[in-house]
Amino acid sequence: MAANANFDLECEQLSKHFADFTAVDQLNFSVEAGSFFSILGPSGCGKTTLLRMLAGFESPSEGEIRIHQKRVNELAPNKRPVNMVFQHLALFPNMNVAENIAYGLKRRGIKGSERASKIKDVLERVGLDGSQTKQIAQLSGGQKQRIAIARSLVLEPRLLLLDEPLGALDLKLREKMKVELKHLQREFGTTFIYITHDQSEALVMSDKVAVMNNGRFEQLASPQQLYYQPSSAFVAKFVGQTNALSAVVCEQRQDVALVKTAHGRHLIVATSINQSAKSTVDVFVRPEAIGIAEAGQELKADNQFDVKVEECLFDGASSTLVVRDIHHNDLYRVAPGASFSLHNVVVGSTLRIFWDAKQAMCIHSEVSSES
Amino acid sequence: MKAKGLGFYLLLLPFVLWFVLLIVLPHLQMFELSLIKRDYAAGDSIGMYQYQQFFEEPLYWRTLVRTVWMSLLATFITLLVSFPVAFFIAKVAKGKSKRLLLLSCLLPFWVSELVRTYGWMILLRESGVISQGLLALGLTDQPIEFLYNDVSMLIGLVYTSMLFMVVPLVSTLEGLDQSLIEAGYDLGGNGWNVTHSIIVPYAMPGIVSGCIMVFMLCLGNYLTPRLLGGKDSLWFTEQIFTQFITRFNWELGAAFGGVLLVVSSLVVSLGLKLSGQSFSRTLGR
Amino acid sequence: MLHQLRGPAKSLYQFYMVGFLVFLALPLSIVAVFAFNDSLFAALPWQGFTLDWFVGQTEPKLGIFYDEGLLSSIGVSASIACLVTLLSLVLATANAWLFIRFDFPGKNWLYIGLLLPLVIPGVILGVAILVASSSLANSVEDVWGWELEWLRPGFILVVIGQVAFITTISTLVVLARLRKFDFSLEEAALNLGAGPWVAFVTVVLPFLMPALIGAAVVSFLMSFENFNTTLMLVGSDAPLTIAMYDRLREGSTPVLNAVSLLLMLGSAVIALTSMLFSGDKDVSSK
Repeated sequence: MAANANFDLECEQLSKHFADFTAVDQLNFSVEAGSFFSILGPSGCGKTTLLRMLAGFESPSEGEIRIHQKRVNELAPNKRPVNMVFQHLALFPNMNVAENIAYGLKRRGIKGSERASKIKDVLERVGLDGSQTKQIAQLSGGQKQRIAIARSLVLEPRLLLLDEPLGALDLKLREKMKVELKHLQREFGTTFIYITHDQSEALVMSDKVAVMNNGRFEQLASPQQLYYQPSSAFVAKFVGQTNALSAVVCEQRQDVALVKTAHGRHLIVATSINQSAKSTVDVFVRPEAIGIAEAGQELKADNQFDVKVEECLFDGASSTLVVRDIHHNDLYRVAPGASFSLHNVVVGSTLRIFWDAKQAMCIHSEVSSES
Repeated sequence: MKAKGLGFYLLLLPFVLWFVLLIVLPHLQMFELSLIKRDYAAGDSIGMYQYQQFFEEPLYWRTLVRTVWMSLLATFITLLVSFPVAFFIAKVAKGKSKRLLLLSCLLPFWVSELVRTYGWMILLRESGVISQGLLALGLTDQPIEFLYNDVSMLIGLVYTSMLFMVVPLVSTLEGLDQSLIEAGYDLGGNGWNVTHSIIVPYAMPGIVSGCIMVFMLCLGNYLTPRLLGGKDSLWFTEQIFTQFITRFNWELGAAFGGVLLVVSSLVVSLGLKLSGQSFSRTLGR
Repeated sequence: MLHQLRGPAKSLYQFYMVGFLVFLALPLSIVAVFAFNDSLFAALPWQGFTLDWFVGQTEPKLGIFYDEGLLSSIGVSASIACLVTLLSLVLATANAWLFIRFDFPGKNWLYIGLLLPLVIPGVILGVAILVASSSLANSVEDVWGWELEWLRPGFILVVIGQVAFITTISTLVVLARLRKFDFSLEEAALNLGAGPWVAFVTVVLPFLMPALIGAAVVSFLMSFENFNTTLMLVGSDAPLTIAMYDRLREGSTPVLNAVSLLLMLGSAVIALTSMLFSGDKDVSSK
């Protein structure tokens, strides 16, 4: 991979082996300057190790890390143009807000008045000017969050690493902070590298998301691509809600395939690669891609059949129905959205569900995937 | 955690220096010395002569047996006296009174053992407060000597080492869930049952660590037996002191030191074994 | 448990606690009271109130403030205690960092080694150090003909002997606090551009401060009141406990009570202020 001035971070063949397992396995990727890059994965997938290598707290077993075209493998953490927002924020409890933010500036030898104006400036930008003399314990969760970010951003790093900083917040605040973080990133123009296990955080905030599993990236793409064109069963299941059905390929015509589910229902689904007949695949249909109509109604859709409502989980616009195929027993989760009124839906009533081939997709079944 | 750089070895150095120079080497040297038999005519020889001396002279080994026995007794009495106190502090007292009680248990031990012992001397001696008080009240017609016997010595030993029993007991008992005790009563236990089957087993780590500390303090004590104990009943540390300082027989003194060390390690490891506790867990909290 | 106890059992338990507190306070208060008795012996009958045992200027009623022997022994004790505190604190901090921060083969064994002084009787520790230092001094003298005075019983040897076991105690105090340290704070400091040493001084040390103060107080008081180890290593300049012990055996005037009272007050003031500094929560975890 050639050095490219547009990239703030490039990793080449990056690996980290511990005594008994490999946490990061030969990663190659680069992050564009000024972008919001998320690494999404379940706990234990190696994302924290990756982040700690970028910060310099772990040293790579193999490979190279370049920040702004410079190899940093051997650079001590305190010498790297990288700052980090820690999972539990790691604000110094023995210092007040201004002292926390001043900490990095002092290390750089920035003197009194310049320091004070920088602190004031960054606090203004995170909307907390005037709280300089507050103690950390006096701040709310969201304020602590913003101080931790300000403490890093005041140093104008090339890269800001964020280690699931929203994990400790309650749901409401987390929703608010998601938007706020995205705004902050845009305003400062700093490259953010954000690791999380929460797919919604990654999708809402990021320009690019890497889905990580077992030390490797399953897919690196924009949030939309991840959602609509997952490249692996793992990504399809991990990102967003989805209906997963195990099926066998009957035949393929160009980019659509006719498959038969384990319970015998024939479905027409999109496929991007050639599927040989008789091969086992996983079929994925997003709950919100499935339309609902009255039972028995014939529609212009590739897949349509009658189902019985097993459960109605009413939650306003994000209500879902759990329905069962009347003839073939497959279970589906359907999210009809605001367009379909749930007034008359009761458990046990029959409906027709439908979707077009291009809204479903099939991916070659993985050996290890569950039934 | 990380690859060990210079920092690790720089940190290891003070520990190793302290441990080797101040703990290991001195004891090895003491042991080495105890194997030497001085003979100015025939020259020094190496062997178990000093240990032979110890076993052949009844005064020596009887002093040791008595010291160990009295220390065990003092430990047991300390446990009996301290347990209700620790339980009261940990589970009964609340808030301010709890802190005050613990503090009043701690404070006397910030004062030198010598002062504490001196206090008991003023109280118990023939011309002391208790004897004179009884005389003044007419309960006795001549002064009584309460000092210089085993009872006065035990009082002193228990008093001196009580803190080291109370503190570990309080800190383990504090972790005991009140609902466990209540469940015990709820299931039909009586006071003795609950203490015996719930509280004591739970407090075992504290009991063991307290007992070890107190036993070691009693065994290694010099002041209390010397000042409060009877003239004819020597403590083993006094024997060591006598050999080293008065008789200047360092070889025999070193052998006594070795014997005391072995005996104390045996008693401590036996205590750990019987109670199923580990050394570093009980002492290194 | 008290709410389960009723009637006589409850009163009995409370009575026991009162008795225990009296037992606890009795010897110390007696010592304190007789510091003011206008008699040549610390004994009844009460001869009237006097401050002579503090400020008396002539024999036989020489007060503590004019008793050259005791005053100089207090000086000796204080300088020993200061030195011991300093050394054991440095060792304790290094040891605590070593045991929390690093994993290395044999760590558990070294940890047992750290705790070992807790089960070595003080007299034996003193004797062992006496034997070792004397044999070292003897061999140096035999080989090079140098007389190393500091290896003979005296000030330095007392300091060495006390450091040997007080280091264990203060290490345990510092260790207990360092276990609670959130190491991401140190990483944050490194991340913000601090070198390892600056990170230690600016972030770790302030966190350890209460424990360091606590360990300093414990070390100082333990050194000041130590008797067993000191007895074996003492030279011509006796620290206070040894000096008091000698007076006590000879039979002394209540000037000893006066010293004792001052010791009690001093210890209480030091201990209480340190508790205020470190907060009440640490009292029970010592």
